[in-house]
Amino acid sequence: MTAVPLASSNLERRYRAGSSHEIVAVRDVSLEISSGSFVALVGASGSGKSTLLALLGALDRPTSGTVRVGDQELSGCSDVELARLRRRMGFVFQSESLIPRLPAWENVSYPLVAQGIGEPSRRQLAESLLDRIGLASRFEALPEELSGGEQQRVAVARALVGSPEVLLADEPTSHLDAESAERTCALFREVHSQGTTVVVATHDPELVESATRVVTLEAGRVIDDQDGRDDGPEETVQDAATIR
Amino acid sequence: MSAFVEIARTGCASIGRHPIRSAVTIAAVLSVLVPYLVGMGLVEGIRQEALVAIGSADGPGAIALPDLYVAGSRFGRRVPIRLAAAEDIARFEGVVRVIPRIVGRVTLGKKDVEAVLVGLPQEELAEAITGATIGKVIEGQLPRTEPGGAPQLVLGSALAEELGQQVGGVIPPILRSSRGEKTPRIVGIFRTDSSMWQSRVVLTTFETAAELFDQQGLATDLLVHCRAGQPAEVSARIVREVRGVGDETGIGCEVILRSDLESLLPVGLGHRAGVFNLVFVVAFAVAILAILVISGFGLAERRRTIGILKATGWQTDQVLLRGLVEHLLLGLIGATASILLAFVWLKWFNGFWIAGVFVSGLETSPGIPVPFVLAPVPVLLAVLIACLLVTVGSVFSTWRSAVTSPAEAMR
Repeated sequence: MTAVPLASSNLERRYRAGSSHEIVAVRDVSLEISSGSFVALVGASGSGKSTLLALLGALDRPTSGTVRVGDQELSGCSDVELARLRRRMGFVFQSESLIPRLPAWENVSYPLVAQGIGEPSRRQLAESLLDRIGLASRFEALPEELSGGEQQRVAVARALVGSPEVLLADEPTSHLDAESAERTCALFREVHSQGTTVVVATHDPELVESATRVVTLEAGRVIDDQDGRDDGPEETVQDAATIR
Repeated sequence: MSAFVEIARTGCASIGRHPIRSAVTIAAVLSVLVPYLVGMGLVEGIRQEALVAIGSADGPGAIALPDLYVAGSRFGRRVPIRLAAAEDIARFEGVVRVIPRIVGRVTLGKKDVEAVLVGLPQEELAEAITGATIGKVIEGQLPRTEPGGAPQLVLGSALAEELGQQVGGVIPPILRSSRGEKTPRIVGIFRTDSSMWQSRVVLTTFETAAELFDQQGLATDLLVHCRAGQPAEVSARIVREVRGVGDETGIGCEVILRSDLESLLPVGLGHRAGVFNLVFVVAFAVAILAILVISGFGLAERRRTIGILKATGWQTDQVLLRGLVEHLLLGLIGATASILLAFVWLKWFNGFWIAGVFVSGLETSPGIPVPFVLAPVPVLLAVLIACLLVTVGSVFSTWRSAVTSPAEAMR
């Protein structure tokens, strides 16, 4: 597996709120995320973490600036190209991201339907992934029958089903109890250790501790960027905790 | 191709996963299509029976029916014609045969069942019945004129059944005329392909009918058979030369050509069917709105689901295909169920309520087996309408969600 670098240049995203008011969620963000890194985006609520993550994950289009995934610039991509690009990335939403009425295994393997993979293969893949995250026994369970932690782990499994080169996660542990959060963090570390680039927006000190780089946002701007934290993660964890 | 199949499968499976939404959508389709199909089935059934009656039906049952129907005309209205006119017309060049006929309405039995009494000359009556114009006597014999005797009648089998009558029975009430009271007697029962005739027609001789209605020397109309290519000419001559009612100036004959009947029939039925269709255009519009509202109930969930699908690598066209398959299948299920229910409504419920719209004099629950034919065109139209109804009602909202960015759809 080859991880692709992510890069943004002078990224800006504005939203219209009401008829005259405009919110600038992300402003002038330029980032380069190298292959195989584990980046934590930290910052207070409303600082632009989720918006930046959505822009990096090709889920949203910037008002101005560019996003590059590998050698592909997103602004010039067609709908089909964007869809293909998203298949190379896994995205974990903050909450309620499972499709209601679909059992766990189908939720995990649903992205593969669009790639024409038949049900037997999908079942097999979903089974191995659910087993990997400790939810093999919940194979047929519907989202409403799963706890919040289990749902989030299923969502992570879904993000991993296409063997993504980049895993993006938006506050994946925010609604979880301590044990579930710890399991999820371990899963992210495992994925990262296998060479996948991981970008996670979080308040969770344990996830921040796992990161090799911490990018701090405030009012849509990058105010701090600590790369190569293998030697001193403690300080950044403290920063993140302070921000929270 | 495999992606197409897999996506189509998920679209099909989605129907079962949203049972309430699917059931309500199908119910909306049923509420529009079932009455529509019942109405169209009745129109076609009545049209085909009417075509048989005027001799326009093709096939082995096709028979030689009159070319002209001649009645008297007074103040522009059809009135009985004097019997002597038959002799005048029979002498015209191009005329093969002239048959006087009496057609009138009678009320029979304790249930006051309304029926149509048809009186034909005895020899014509035999030919009409055995020649399959009407059908065949399955029990008893043909009516005869017996001076001083009881009027002899032949009933359609369904009418006999409704009245609880058999051969040899008498039908109240006693018919009164200037010649005294008469109690008609049933001498035969006939069966025909036309359910309307079988249920409502009473046959008797011309003389008996004239006596029963107390209209001596008159006929309701004259049935004129002409040589090929002659009807128009004969018709013109009748109008020009024959006095229908008397010798007074300005009182003449009204002639209807069979070809006119054939062209008038679809117009008459078409008018009722047109009004019926108009009502259903309105119902169609209401159903679309209803389905839009139904779609709106699950809109937030669908929008979120579409956001998830797109975020996980589904293309817009794939999302649309999934929705289209789901809704087309719902439409097909709705159409199939509608066709089956319409058949049940026509066959076992006898066109309850709707039959009265098309057949004058029928009650909400028709006492006769109503004719119906579920023709291919309305059935195909129903399938088309169902698919259109469901897809128009819901694909728009799917498309709106599918073209927005996943982040927006998930928000």
